[in-house]
Amino acid sequence: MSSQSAAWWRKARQVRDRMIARFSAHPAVTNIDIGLLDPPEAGMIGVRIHVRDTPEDLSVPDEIDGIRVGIVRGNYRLQ
Amino acid sequence: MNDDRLRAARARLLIRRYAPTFLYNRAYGVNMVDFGIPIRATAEDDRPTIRFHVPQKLSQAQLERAGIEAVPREIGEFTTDVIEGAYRPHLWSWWYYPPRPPASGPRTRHNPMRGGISVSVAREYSAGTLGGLVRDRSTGELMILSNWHVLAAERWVASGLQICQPGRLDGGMPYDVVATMTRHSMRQNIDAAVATLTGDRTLINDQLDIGPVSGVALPRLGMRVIKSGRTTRVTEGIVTGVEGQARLWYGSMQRTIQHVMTIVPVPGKHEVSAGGDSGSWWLDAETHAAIGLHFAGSDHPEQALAIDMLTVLDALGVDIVTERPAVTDRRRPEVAVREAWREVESRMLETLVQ
Repeated sequence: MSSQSAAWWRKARQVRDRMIARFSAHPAVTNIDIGLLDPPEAGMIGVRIHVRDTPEDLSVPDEIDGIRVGIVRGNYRLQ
Repeated sequence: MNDDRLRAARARLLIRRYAPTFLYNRAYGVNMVDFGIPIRATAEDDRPTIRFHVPQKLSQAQLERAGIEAVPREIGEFTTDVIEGAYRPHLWSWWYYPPRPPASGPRTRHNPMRGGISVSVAREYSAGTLGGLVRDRSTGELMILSNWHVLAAERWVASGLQICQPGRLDGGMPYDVVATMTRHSMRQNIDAAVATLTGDRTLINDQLDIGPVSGVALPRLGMRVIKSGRTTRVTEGIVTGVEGQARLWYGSMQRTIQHVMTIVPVPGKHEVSAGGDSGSWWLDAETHAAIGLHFAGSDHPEQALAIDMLTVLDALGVDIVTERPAVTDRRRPEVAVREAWREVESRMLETLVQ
């Protein structure tokens, strides 16, 4: 699955860091990472913003510098 | 005031006046008097009335033989009722009901200890998972590696906190202390801690119902992984996210945790982790190299969060103890893929040359 090039990963990390700077303070955002976007069957990899519930005030671009960005659900708690 | 409320008020007055007569006179054998719905075989009047609770209902002849006085059939306007009820305090006490751990499995007392079993701070009524065996890079001491919120669980915890196995929630007692908390990495935004073994019980390189850990590696998207935990025991998952930064509530405080991977159940399975699995080690299902330290999860959708194991080990200054030389794969995902492609290309060249 990790068939992206080194250049793609470099760019994806930059986009992830930009997303962290922009959205990590949002109360609904629980995690920001690089992974399989929804729907997982499509096998599309990009920067994911995990959110609890469905925040209406969170608008995320579909793509930044050629890296797909998506919202996925994730309401995490310590186990 | 309506009729029902007036009736209840009159009943209350009568109970207050007459209840001590029946409660404190052993001749009646009454243990409670109240105002409630009558429980009679033939209820002519099903309105609430004065009820006498007795340990056992007896006939007139039985009452006479036992020397027990019958309660009055009527008090004021109320036709009384007699119902059965033998009450005693529902006290919970360590003396009468000591917690009994199950006969086998991750929640029992283990000697030798291994990864995937119950552990907790000795003074906290909780339970998490003992991750596995590590060695201090500078002193060589043997230690338990688990989460900070399992081995410390307090904001300003000092080293020396006692750790018991099984965890207190699973019946661990003060004499089950097996280690003392040594240091943690919460300042580096990594929920991990190590506790030095006291030497009372040995800890071996083995994950309950999985086997020994072969080394450590970086997670890769699509990697099939396996863990042994205190609550859900052995579960399999697939890594769907890497290099994340998560924000979680630790009691009343929100904290950021870095180097986080996301794991979902393998197709056909519905559970990947649950409360009490914190501290488990996620292993590469093929090589059994440790790739992540489990610490959190969500139910809808079912997902687990773990921290990159190489980062955890470096932050705490420890190494995983293995019988054979540990396999350490520090290659980032893209490097591994590039190397795999080089291998394929070289094989293709060899084939072409032949």
